[in-house]
Amino acid sequence: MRRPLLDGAVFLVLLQGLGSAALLGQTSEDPDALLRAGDYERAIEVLGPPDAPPSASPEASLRLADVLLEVGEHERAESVLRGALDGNPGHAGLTLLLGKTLVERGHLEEADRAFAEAELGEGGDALLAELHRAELLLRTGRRELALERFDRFIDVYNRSAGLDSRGLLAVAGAVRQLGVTNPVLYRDALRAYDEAIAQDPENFDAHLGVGELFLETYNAPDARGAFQAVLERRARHPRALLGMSRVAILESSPESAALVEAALEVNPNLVPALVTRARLQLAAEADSIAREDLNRALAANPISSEALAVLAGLRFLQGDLQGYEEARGRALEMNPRDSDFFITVAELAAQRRFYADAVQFAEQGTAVDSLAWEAFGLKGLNQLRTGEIAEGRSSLEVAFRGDPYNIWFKNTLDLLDVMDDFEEWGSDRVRVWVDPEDGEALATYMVELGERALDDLGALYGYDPPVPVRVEAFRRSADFSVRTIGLTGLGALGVSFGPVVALESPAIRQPGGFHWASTLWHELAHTVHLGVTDHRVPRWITEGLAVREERRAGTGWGARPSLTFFSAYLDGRIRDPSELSRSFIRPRHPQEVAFAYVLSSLVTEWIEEEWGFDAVLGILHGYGEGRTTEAVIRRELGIELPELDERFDTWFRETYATPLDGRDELEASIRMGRELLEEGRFDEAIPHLERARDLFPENPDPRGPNHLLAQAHRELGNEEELLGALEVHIESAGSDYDAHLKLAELREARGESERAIMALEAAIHITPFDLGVHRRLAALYREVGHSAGEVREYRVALALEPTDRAGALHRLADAQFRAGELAEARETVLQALELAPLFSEAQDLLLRILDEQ
Amino acid sequence: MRPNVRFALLLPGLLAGVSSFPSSLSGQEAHLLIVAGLGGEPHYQESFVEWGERMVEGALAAGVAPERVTFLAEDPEASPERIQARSTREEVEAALRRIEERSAPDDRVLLLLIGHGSGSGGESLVNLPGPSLQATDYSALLDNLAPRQIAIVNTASASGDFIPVLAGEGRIVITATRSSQQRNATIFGQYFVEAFSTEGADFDRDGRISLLEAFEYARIETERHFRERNLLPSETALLEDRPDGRGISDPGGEGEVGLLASRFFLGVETDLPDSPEPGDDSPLAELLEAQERLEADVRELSRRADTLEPGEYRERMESLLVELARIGQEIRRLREDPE
Repeated sequence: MRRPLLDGAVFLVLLQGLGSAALLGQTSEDPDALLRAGDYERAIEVLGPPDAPPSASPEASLRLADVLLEVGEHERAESVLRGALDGNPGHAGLTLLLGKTLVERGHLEEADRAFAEAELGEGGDALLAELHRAELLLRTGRRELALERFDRFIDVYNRSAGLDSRGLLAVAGAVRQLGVTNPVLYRDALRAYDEAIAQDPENFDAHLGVGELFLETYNAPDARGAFQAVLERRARHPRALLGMSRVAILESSPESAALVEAALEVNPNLVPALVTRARLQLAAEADSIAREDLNRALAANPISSEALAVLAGLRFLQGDLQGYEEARGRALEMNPRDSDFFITVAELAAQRRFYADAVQFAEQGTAVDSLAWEAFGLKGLNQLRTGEIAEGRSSLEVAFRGDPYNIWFKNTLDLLDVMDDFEEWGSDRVRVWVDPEDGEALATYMVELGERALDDLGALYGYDPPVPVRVEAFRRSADFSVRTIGLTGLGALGVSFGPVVALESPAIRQPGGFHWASTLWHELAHTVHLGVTDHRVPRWITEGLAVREERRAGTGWGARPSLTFFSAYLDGRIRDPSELSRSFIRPRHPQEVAFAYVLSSLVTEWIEEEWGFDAVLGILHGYGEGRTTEAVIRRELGIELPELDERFDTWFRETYATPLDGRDELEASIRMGRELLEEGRFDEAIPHLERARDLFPENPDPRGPNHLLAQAHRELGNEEELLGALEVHIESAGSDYDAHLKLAELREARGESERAIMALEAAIHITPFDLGVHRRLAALYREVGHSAGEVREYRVALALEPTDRAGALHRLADAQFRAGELAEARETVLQALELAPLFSEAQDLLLRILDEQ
Repeated sequence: MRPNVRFALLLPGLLAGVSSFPSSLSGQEAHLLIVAGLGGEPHYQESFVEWGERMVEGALAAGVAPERVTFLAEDPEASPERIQARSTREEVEAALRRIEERSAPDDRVLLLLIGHGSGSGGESLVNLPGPSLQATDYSALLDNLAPRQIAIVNTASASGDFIPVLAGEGRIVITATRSSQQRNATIFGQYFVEAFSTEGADFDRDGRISLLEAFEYARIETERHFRERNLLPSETALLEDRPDGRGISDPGGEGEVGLLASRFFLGVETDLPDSPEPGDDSPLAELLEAQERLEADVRELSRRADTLEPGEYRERMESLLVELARIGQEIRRLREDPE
């Protein structure tokens, strides 16, 4: 997680501001002080009570209207301004602000007329009016004309040494718009903003412009600084709070929601804030709440292109294609070259895992606007997610040339350079891309496991994903993160884009810290769920089922309830099943996501137990048809969401009654057992640990009672009991690498080769990089006469750079010979002899192979 | 996994080196002195003794006469059958004097140091019970053994500075670390002694382990040790067998570093593929001569690999190797049954 958005200092500023408000409210009626403290209501009362006659002073009216505009009272602001204009016809400042008010309400033609009038004035206001007129041209699809107008401001700046703060603001705004054609101009825009602020530090629009410019160039810390500068002067400035919220979004900080709420508290009609909040709701899969915000936004400004774009996106996500077309028509009617519309819809589509659709939308964005760098970039990022690697790179290169500030594009292009060195392995159905350091040792097992997953999951869900499925494994967490979200810092281990799956390589972590096979299975389960539902599966059920599939696929795989989970459940720190998707997207505490995986898996387990797997399939198909969670649960389970929560709770408490009721005893037994172990009193520890095990045999704690029992029996030399304890232990803690190795050792010593093989195969699913394991496994396969297994293991052992390469080649050749792979055996033994020409065993083998051939 | 190019480069070069030297080394005797210093903790005390024991066993198995093997350690009671005396400065000096007295000028001496190191430059040392010997002390002591061929293997931490102090004509110096700054306890020694008890270190499968092979084995296994545990390597082993005292970790690929080490073996091997005696025209001698010629052809072809089309190279190589295999088989048959 990136650093939190608002540090203590900022909150302090806000709180100090609010504190002052209360204080000032009692002692002062100075509107500036009231505004500084964030008391807009009182400030407006002081500046112009609703029943007061229009002020004769244009400055007083301007001030009042400005504040009214800031809190979203557009109608009253317009009325105040028109009233003032009656007494001061042609006043540039009043007509300029009237124009801005009309823009907020979506009355663009009237606004243009107002700006035209203001343009006739002098000084900064006239320049700002000119800027806003050019912006209107841009908004209505007349880019060339708009760019010409913006371009004039460069001359204005160069010719006029004495521009005032507002004039410089106008220049900055225009040059910023020109940045799309030449990114270097962003620097000039910043300089003009800085000069505007230097002349008038109270020029809020200049500070906000700086913040927005930094947001456009993905510089969160500097953007934050600019918005803070406004908040220090006006504690609850809604646009500054909205800016802070966007900084938080850029930094993936959970503070974004609270900040946008704060902005809307002051200005409930602030359209960009309503749209931002709607998008946050959509990210949390709360579609109906998002729709309410969009309705409010469109009520405030019926032609808001950003609100229409999100509305269109929402309708697309819900499968309402007719509704999508309607919103699209409304948005493009005003500006047929509105690439932002397509960018927004593409982003929303990608957010809900409709990657192929995201490519299509982004492409439409590039078609209407050849300078829409973000559209090119989105197209590229999503092409990479659908497996179109070369095309994706090409799109990203175009995007990055136009927008060299974009860290997502840069990171991803850098990653593609890294991936140029990756090795490709695989079958017709599973293609694996791995770092050369991981190479065959990892790819061999990934391909095998991928094949098995496609068979098993395909049969279970009645769906075969399009093949080949592409699996990528990254040796650097940062690379995996960039592959997933374009940025570093993602805390996940794997991701499925559908036909493309990416995960971290087990080489990154200590053996036992990561179960790559379980993770790959999980991601491939998502691939199937995405396919079954046409990418409409919500997080809660796909995560739940994927964890459940892990548990089905391998002994001890997948997350399961622990003692910490039980405590969290009983303490209400886990959301109800009906709200699970929010836990994944907007967790309230650091452990919530991990708990959500477990809970969602239990919910799917319960549904399968109570209603059968067909109900699970029915739910998935329901989602695929575009139905809501409420609808699919009602149709498939015959219950409403509150009942779902209630009945699951009953099932959970019944299923886990023993560990839940006996939690105190369980914890005490573990504690006592552990203490006795530490004191070396192994015999005495065993009964306590056995009690703990009996109360909760599935305890997944890798250092829990099952592990401790094994430790006690090992110390006491109780081989039979040690074996038993280890077997129980790995059933719920399958990532314990050492436990698998110990089991293999014990089984091998007892001559149980087949079971020793199983233990070593399980260990390889945690890490395939232990040369000794492959040699042991090869020998065991030889013992049981499994030539293919022996060949596989010697091949991998060779890939792991053994010191005795000639010997390793000979062993592989020997296994190949016995497996009947004569041509391969000959090739391999020749390699051995090339290294060690007098290697007698290899010479004999070569001659035997030649005889056979 | 990265293809193991190193071996392909190393081995032909290494064996080419062997063939350019007279094969009379096999007639010399080898002497081994193992010095295990202070362990500090039981875990290290046990490990150091265990490594020393394994080295003794490896040397004996390689054919070193038991009377030419000396093992000094912190506590002789830890392995009374193997450890002759406490590893004090005096005992080390005495052991080296005995070797000097009992060895011939063309003998080989391997001094293996095990323990925790400290100091730097000429003051680098392996901690011994009582006063320790510094690198300069070892250098002076070993000077007394000239012109015998000397190998010093310091497997301790902070051992890297032994190289510039001890390197010299006819000397091989191996250290577990690159410098005196790598001060963590080392693992290199474990793999170095393991090299003499596993066929895995016999890269060229000639039935004996050269010092170069042991170094390479230990270096690679040490790297694997850190890689498999996902740890940052805290030691970098070096080898130097030229007088310039630089030491490299990759002796197969640069100049002639490793040449001397590739000729340094423990013991006297008797079952190696011999060269024919001059004037011997027996069928075995003819086969041995053909074998030697073919082996040289293989090396030569290998060296020229880059100048040939892959298909042609493979065809010619296979032809040579098949012929060599047939001759090898015949040699073994004749040796088993000369009649």
